[in-house]
Amino acid sequence: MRRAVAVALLLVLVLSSCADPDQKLRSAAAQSARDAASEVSTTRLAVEQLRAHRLWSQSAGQMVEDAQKGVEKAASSFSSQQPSTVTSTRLYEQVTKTLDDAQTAVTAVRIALGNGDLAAAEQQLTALRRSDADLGRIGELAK
Amino acid sequence: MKKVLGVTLGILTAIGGFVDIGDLVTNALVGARFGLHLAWVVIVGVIGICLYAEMCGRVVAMSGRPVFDLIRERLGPRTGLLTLVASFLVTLLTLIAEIGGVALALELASGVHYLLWMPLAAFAVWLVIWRVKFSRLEQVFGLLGLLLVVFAVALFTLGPDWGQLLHQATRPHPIGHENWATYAYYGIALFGAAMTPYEVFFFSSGGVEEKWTRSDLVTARSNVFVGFPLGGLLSLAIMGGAAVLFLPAGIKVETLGQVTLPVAVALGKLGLAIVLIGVFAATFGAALETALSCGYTIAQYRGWQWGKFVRPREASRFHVVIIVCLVLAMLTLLTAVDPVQVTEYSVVFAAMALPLTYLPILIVANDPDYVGEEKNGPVRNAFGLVYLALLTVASAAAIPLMIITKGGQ
Amino acid sequence: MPGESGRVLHAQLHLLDRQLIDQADGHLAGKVDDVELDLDADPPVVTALITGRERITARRIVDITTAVTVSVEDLDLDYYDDWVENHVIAKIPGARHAPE
Repeated sequence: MRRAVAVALLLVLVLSSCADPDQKLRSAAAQSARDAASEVSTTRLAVEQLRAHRLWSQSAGQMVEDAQKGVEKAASSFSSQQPSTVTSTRLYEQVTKTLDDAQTAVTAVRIALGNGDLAAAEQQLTALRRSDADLGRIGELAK
Repeated sequence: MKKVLGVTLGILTAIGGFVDIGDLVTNALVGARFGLHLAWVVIVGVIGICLYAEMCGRVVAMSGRPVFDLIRERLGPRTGLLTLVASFLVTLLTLIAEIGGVALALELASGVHYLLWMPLAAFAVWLVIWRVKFSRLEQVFGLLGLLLVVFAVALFTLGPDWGQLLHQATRPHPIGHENWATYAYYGIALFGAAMTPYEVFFFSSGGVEEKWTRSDLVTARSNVFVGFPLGGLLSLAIMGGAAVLFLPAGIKVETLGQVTLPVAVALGKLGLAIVLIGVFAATFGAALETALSCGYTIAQYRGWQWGKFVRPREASRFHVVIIVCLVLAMLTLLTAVDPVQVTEYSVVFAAMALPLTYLPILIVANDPDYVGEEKNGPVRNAFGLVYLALLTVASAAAIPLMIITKGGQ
Repeated sequence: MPGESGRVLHAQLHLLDRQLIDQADGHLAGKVDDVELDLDADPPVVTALITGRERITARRIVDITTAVTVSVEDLDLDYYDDWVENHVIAKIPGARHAPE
């Protein structure tokens, strides 16, 4: 009897975790957004420190290069998700767009620093902050 | 006077030598994700390493025999072999991580890709082991490693809310998006980073290399009881800096560059230069220690002549083991695995191998054949047993937690 | 152990897996892999120590402390070490010099 209850409980648990595709997507979105936000903030910090003459350009360049790889990883891991309902399709598109924006901003900084063009990198600071805020909101969609 | 100088030098070396790539990465990573909510593990780990390193030092000073020599003697060839395989593999993994760390530090300083630095780093490690006297190698890299004190300076300069840091440190629970599984996983990682097995192999073999006798017990104890806790404070400073700068910004530490960033933010380019030299020295010193430890463990298990107190050709198998290990490390890194990730895994695997390493030490430190009247007292044994229980729990929980958290994600 | 140098030892605790040291140069010379006993004697006496492929008769044992010091003489305990030395290590520059 006790065993049957345990099995039933386990089934409910397993089913409830698969049953809600929206929840699964939300959780993947939050995870990717938090990963991407980490890279965006690192990039922002590197540019700010470079502007304040507190960082060497090659170290900053190195950090931003690594950050770009990280954003790409986060974006590609989310893009492999499979949205199956109308709600999750909408979320999927929105999150993909936000991750794309983040990737664009970080890549622009990487290119600017590679060319030694600090001014161009600083121009991305606004975009980076906005991207960080957007990603932050998505990051709170799930634990 | 000369004695005081020797003791001071030993302590300074112990502080600088305490921090390696595992401590750098794990403490920064944990600080960024958990603030100081896991800081207590560092303190528990440092007390543990002090306890057991002191036993090793005493056994060496009294008997002239290093740890691995005794592991086989007390555990027998079979269990001894299991311990050898586990300890050796963990030490080799740590060596890979350290050499990767040296190359990454050079990359950060030069902008040249780390894979190009890596063969050079491995060769330099071998050359130093081949040609430089033991005491000199230990002192130079230990003292240069002291530059990592900039992490503590940086933490003060960042001007953190100390009350809040204390608040975090006194509340041992996960925060934000973290859960108990990741909390426990990184707790084990910190434990493994503080108590890495190679530290005791190196410490005890180093005692033989420097021909410790009973009169060196004071030196050994001051190194352990002053040097290691101060090294632990350095670890906490690294964690604190990351907690102040990265936790509020939601930054996860995944690269060595991020580990050094709090120092740059606080102290600027000069600070960055100092921290990079410190990181280089700490990882290079640890690469020497782990490479030697690979040789020490196998040679001591088999009874081969080992050590740098004889000419290389007199300890030929010992030197061949070191060369083979360095080549293996180089080949592994050439597959372009991320050295930071290797580091993260190496500290968890280190935690798994801990009970096997530390049990024989506890046994031998109670054996009058080896330590004469300098046996463990009841207090030391009680602490020793508590830690052994702790190590066993951590060791058993490591793999399940690694699976549940998908490697801490 | 024979004659007047006889000592009561626990073979497993005091001999097995112990480090061997060459009396001539103080070099480490392997481990005691096995112990050969004469069970007919009362009490049983150790007749030889086995290490790798060599048999060290009890009369060669010089001292037993935390390691076992033996007089190696014509035994070839360093066979493998010498092989590695001659084929690998001696070919690398600096192998003959003490580190500085």
